[in-house]
Amino acid sequence: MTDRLLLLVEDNRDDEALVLRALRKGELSPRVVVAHDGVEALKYLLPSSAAEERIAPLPHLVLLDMNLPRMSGLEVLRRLRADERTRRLPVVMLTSSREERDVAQSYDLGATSYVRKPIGSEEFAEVIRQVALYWLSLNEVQPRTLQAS
Amino acid sequence: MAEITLRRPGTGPGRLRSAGTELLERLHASGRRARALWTGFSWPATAAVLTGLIALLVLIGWASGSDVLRTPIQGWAAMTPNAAVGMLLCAASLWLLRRPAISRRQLVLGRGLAVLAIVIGACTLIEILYTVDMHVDGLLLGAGAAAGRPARMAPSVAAALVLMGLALLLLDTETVGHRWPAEFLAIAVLLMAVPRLVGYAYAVVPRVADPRAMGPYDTLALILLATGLLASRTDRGMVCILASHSEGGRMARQLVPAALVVPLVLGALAVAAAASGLISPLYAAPMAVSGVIICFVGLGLVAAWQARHAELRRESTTQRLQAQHDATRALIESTTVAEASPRFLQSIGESLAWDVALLWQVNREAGVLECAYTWQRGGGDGDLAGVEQAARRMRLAPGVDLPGLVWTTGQPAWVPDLQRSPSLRGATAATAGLRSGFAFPIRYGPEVRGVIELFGRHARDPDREALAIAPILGRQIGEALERKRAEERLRASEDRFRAVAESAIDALVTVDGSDRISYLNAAAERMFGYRAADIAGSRLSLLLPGIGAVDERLVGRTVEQRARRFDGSELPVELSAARWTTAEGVYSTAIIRDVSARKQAEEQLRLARDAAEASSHELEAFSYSVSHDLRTPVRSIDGFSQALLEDFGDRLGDEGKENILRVRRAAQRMSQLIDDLLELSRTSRTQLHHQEVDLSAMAAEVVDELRAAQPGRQVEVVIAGRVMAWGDARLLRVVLQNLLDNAWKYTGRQPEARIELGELPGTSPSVYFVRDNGVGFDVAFAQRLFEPFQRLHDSDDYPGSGVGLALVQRIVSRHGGRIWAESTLGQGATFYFSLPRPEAAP
Repeated sequence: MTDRLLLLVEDNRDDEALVLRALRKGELSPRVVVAHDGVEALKYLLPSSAAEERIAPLPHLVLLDMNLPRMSGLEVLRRLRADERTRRLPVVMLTSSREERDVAQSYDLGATSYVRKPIGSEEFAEVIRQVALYWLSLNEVQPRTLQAS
Repeated sequence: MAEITLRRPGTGPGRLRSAGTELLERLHASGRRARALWTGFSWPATAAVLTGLIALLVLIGWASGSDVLRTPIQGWAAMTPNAAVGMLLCAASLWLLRRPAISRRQLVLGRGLAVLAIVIGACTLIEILYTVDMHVDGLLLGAGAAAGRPARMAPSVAAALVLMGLALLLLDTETVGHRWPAEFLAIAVLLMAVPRLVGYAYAVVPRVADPRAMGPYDTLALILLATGLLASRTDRGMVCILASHSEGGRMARQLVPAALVVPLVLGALAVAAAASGLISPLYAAPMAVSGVIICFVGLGLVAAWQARHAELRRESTTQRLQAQHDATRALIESTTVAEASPRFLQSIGESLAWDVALLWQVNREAGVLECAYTWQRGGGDGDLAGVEQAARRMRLAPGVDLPGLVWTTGQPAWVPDLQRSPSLRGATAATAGLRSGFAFPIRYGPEVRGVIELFGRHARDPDREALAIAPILGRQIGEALERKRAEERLRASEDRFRAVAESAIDALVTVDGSDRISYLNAAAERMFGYRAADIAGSRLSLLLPGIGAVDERLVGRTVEQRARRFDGSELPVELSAARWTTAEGVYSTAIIRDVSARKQAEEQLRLARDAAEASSHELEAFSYSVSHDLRTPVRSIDGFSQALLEDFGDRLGDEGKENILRVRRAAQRMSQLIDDLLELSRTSRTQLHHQEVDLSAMAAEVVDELRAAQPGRQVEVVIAGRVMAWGDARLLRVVLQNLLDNAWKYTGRQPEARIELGELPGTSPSVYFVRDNGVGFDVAFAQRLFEPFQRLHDSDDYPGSGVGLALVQRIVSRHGGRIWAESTLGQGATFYFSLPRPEAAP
């Protein structure tokens, strides 16, 4: 599991801590990169010049919050899907919203999955554990490069 | 007279004038007939023929050598052959020229003959004056001259012949001052001949043949020629008075011959009587003069009587014309038929001297005559009232009675004595003392529209003039009545239009073909602040600045415009137009509606809608942020409490752990509250999708879930079969969920819990209920049950957010229904809710 890379895009430090704790408790230990807003996430995922060439490779999974400062999660998702490099990147929306509108928009923009953060801490931990387990170990990893497709 | 009366400016429309003209033509025709009698006799032709005969007789006498034919009485001067030829020429010339309009050949020939006569006369005169023999005398009959008889005509005859020839030659010549020389020449001839004739009549002319005397044949021939010539041109000069149709002409025609003949005859008789010794010659002149005086006094009296008679006749004609005029004026001046009819009945009755006048009208549907209006001399209360009343009750079939007869024949009818014609309503009339009757039809075109019937108290012979005038009068009245009716119809329709226009709420503005305002209704006056009289003639653009002309584009559709009031303020209007064409041109009416109130309402509605949208957006944004942001801290509280328990639980001790657990329960309740609030908000906003919903089946599912959540509870649930409702299935499920959940919850301490769902029978709209035998509630608080966050029970005993019933109420009311509850504390509660069905729904 340690060879797997997860990008958590979350502005709320409490939630960040709870997610990391859930991963730890679930005995999953992927490498985790945290971006605290949409712009930062994009900078990591889609560096715009050679100078900004990413230090780390693309993550195997992005957990994307919806309400983010500077650029919303939906906008980040839209840009990722518009770019060849990240078109197939698994992006799981992880959010508090239960609004149908948000769910629909997310899928329209190409979200891989939509997961609501439960309030209860046990349930929350369980959801995080299952998502990570599924996308980082059970799920067959998609081809990284265009040539391979 | 007729012409002056009827053509008085302003009184007569065309039809009236045409009837008047007709009357005049009738009078002229009778005048023409009288003149034809005078000229048809043709004195000029007769005179020419007689003169010609005399001349021929004389010539034959000369040719045959017979003395007999040369003179009427032997021994009297004979007519010479030359004179006879001259007379013959003149006679022929007169014959040819006796009519004014003749062919050129005839004219030349006639004048040529006259010139020949002049030549003969002139030559003879020259012979006599200059004592030369031009052998004119023997020109024709040398034998006569040889016989030793003086064949030269008398100088007076020769002069008369020249004058006569000149008169014929100048017959149609007019000098300056409108004088006719021929007339004077002919009178000169008469002045020469008449004394001679009188002389012969009195036998004072020497009977021996006097070669210088004018013989009796010459005298006669010259008088014939001169009078014939005068009579050939009766239309001018002094003769025309004799020939004129006027009373003066008639009198002149009577007196002039008498003045010629009477003294002549009486004088001759007196002379003859004296000569024969019957009376003394001394008395002859006085007797003759006395006779003349008597005759002329008599003639003068006759002429005066005739003049008086003519005057009376003219007066009566004038009266009849006045009747006609009055009747027509009554018709013209009256506004309605009802007003006109009695007036013209009165005019006719009075001016034609009748005592009762009735107007019968044809009732076309019933095919009968009905008496519509009556008049009687001296007012309606006289002894003739019975006739009027009887007539008003009558309905006459065609051919029945005097009016029916006139209706059928279409001709005027006169009954001189009703007592002799009892079939013509003699009975009714006779009892009222009426003797004579007269009726004539009222016509419009060929159709008889009614009958005017007149009765008089005395027997009366048919009046030709009244009979002649009746058809004209009948037609005039018919036409005027029809016109009156048409006017009434027009006025009625105008009144209708005006009433509609004036009471209309919309402004009506009528403009003529050049878009000048001609009419404003009351609403338009109010709308624009102008008075109709002040604005008439102004352009429509004064009121509607955006409208140049009312054209086809405005007809039959509605456009929005800005209108301008008198004070300059503007208002929004809706405008449509109608157009019509009259003889005076094209007119348009603009129908203008003030839409400022509507515009205002629209504006307010728009603002309200915008506000509602804005607040709805706000609400959405609010609940959106609630769902995101309110949850996050709650999750943190719960999550970190949990982390605290897991990581540091052993250090907290039992009380610390219990406190942490309380924090976690509070966080979870908070989370539930947030979810319920969001649900409530969403319920208000979501679109309803109506369908047929099986509440029984739905309730069974809900109860199954409840049983599954608390398998330990024993609850008797009774659900009525096939309880159907019309509504949004998802929301109705929320209703059942909440109500059944409540029932489930509040029967928790009941050993024999019972929950029932059903529908009240025979209700419309359908009323459903959920009943339990739980703790119930205090009815005093029943109203507060449905307010959000209101709870009637301790939340520790019966947990809940207090949002559920508020949610149920909102859903029911969004379906157009109602919810209420009944309960007795400790004995259970029943919740009722109604769900109406639309008419078309099954």
